[in-house]
Amino acid sequence: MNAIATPAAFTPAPGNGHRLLEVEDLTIRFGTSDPVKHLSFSIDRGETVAVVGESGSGKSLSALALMRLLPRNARIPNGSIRFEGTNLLDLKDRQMRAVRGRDIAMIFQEPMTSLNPVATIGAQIVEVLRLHEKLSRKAARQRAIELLDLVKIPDPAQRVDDYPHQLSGGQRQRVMIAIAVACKPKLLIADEPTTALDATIQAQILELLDELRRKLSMGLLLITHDLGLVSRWSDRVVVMYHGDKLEELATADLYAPERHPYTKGLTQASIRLDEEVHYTAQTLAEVKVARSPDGRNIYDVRQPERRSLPTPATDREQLLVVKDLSVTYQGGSKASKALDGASLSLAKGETLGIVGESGSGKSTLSKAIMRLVNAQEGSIVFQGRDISRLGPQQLQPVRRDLQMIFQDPFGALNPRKTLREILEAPLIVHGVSNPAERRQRLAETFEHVRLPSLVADRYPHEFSGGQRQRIGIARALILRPSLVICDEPVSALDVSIQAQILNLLVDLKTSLGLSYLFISHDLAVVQYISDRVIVMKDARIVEESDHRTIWRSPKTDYTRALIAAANDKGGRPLAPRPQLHAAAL
Amino acid sequence: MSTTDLNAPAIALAGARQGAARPETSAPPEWHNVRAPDARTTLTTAVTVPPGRRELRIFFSNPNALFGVTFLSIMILMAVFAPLISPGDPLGMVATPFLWPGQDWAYPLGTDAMGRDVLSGIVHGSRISLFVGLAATALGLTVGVTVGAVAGYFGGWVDDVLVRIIEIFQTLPNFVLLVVLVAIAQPSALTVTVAIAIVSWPMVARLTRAEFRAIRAKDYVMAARSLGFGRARIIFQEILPNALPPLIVTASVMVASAILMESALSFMGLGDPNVVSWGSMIGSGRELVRTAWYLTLLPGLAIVFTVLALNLIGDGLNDALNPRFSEERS
Repeated sequence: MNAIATPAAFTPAPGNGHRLLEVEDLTIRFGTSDPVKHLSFSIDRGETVAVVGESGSGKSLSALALMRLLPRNARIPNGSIRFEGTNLLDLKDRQMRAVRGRDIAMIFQEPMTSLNPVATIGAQIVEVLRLHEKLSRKAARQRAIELLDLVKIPDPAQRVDDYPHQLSGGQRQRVMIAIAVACKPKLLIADEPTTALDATIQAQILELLDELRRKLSMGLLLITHDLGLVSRWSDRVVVMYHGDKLEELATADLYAPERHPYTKGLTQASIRLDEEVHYTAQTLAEVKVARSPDGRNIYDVRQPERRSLPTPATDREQLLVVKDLSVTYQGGSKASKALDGASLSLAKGETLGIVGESGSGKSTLSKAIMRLVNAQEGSIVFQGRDISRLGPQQLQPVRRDLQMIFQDPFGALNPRKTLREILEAPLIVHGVSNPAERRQRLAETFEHVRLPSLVADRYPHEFSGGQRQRIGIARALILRPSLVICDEPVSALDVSIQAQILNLLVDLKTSLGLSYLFISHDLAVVQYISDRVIVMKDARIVEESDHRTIWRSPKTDYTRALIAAANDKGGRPLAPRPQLHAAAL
Repeated sequence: MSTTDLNAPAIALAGARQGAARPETSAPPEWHNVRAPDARTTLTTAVTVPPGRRELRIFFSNPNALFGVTFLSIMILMAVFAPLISPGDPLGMVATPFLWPGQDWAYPLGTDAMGRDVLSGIVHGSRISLFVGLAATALGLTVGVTVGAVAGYFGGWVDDVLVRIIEIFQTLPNFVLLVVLVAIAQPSALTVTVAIAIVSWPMVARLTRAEFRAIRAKDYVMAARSLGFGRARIIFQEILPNALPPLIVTASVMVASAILMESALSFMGLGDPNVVSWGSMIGSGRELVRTAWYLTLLPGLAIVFTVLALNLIGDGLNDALNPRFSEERS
């Protein structure tokens, strides 16, 4: 174990005279707490610097500070932000407004909400242009069309009059980029620019950003949690945790052995599709951060352990058999098919992974099996009994064996209930009327999900995302089900927590004999945990195979495209990770 | 226990906005453009009191709300102890008519055209005003919440039918309906209360329905359904507690408007003729407004301040229960 206290200072490379932005000793304060502490970094012209960190690291807040867009109750007690020599913190509001959009521009994560839905995309680009440059309406419109062409929107002369809702998510993000680069900024801040997009579109957007950086010789500040993305698209990396900058390094060194333990933990905990790790062969590395008595953080990595679990036989007793399941949503006058003739089977003790992009019908499939939405056609045979036509009363005993874990650890727990209330309610509903027995079941479940039972009387908002997901798992397990449907259970979690939850799910599966239906858009996660995999596209199941075959010899072009997108996000090739293999083998 | 993550209400908001059709994302979906999620983190790390206590603290640190609560408490005490504060029938003639306030210290607020004590009238009038205000609100809330919850939770044809019924009430001018209702029934405190409740429940029902529709789509309601919870349990245990904040705020404003409606009815002579109320005092003083203006002013002030107090309480509750406001202030 290599436990090291907060790191020694890293000396950045000496300046080369092309310095664009220099942040020095920046502290951001809210009331009594400092979410960003003594942050220093710099960006040169034409350089891409990535700030990496998990939620709560202060990375987005730092980006907002550069634009002076912090919430009103935030203060900057010390530090400076020098942009081409001027300290932005000294500028008047009016001067700062001129800098924003013209010299420094920003794009956000959520392309669905960042555009004004009642104005055409052309009008939104023209607005920015005319705000910062003296242009006639006609000339600005012409520039807007050029910009749309620059960000590779097909048919820009026609699309310029489209409204945001007429564009796809990827196209909207392109429009956001067009708005950001409209005035040829010297620095572009991209805050999680591709996180909300499907893998196949992510690579295109990053390619576009990189190309624009070269064409316009901008500095690019990339803020992200995704290490795979960082290693391919940036020159230098700043790693942050909880407001502290842990280290700054050249991207090429990201996987070198002598890194800060937290960086090392992050790189090890994020799973990659091309490494073909599987739960039967090894556990995942976990990052552990503890607070030492003197208030500093101690970073530690739990190395992956080798093991050999048996692969469950697929010809055993079938727990779940779904045949030709179809779901149609009636939206006003038009009906849309969300699930079209899906058939699958799941043996006892097996994990069936379901992958697909957003809108492919994965979630509808899981909700239809849970009988949370009604299927119009098809049958669901669970434990030898067709449950697709059962009424609520008859479903009640079935629910005990069929449980679900939800994606969003924040939305899936009732904020007004304590953990005890959340976990005891299912027991009461299912007839466990003896309080002593309920207490005992509660203690047992807390132990399963590795939470101390003394937290039972707290409310969900007092827990972190990973802890809440454990509570969500506890709620699913307290009735002792045989099949658990996991709907993107780790998608909303940070990389390090993702590894912990996946390890936990595997442990629970082996110790409690569970079967999982595991839904995710992340191929690497599905690869790790699944025994068999189903690929969905446009409400249909397009491919099904065992966990080895599907990645090595996919049958359909769509699966091949998905794998290619997950493996190759463009940019530079990935460096191998020697230390993981050394530890694993 | 480390609490290093975002707080629940903020996420609930984000979740509601994104709705059911949220795209699969590989990062926390609670991202918010204008306010960094990290900012929320650090704000809430320090606060680990159970929900409720923090709202109370914010509420009581608001001077306006504090004034409202104090004033209303005094009014309620006055109403409860009215027979002790000014014994005797407030409708009884006790002194010479048209004593001005201060003229005779036995009747500090003077007497009206019939020689009735104005102070006694205001003290006893508070009983009917507050009773009607609170009872009509309680009744209106009960009916409105039930109808709204059923419409919002079940949706479909149930929703269609209930919304039509609500619309029938909302298309009729409130006060005209109220006058007609009281004119048909015998005017008494009870009928006035019921009539006011009848005209005020549709607003509550609309609000409750909207809240229920938004909360119904949340994952924890989905989780409750997947656990086999019954409908009543989901409606009253899972959804209703989360829909309460806007309802509480509305309730405080409803009390104020019920008091105003009762006063207006009494002013028009449609109140209970056997009890004195602020509205009826203004009504009987209106013809003498040039010569004895204090007869309309004094009960008028009582109404103004009571309604103001209730509105201030409503504002305070709104600030305290709305997580986005309370976060900015703490």
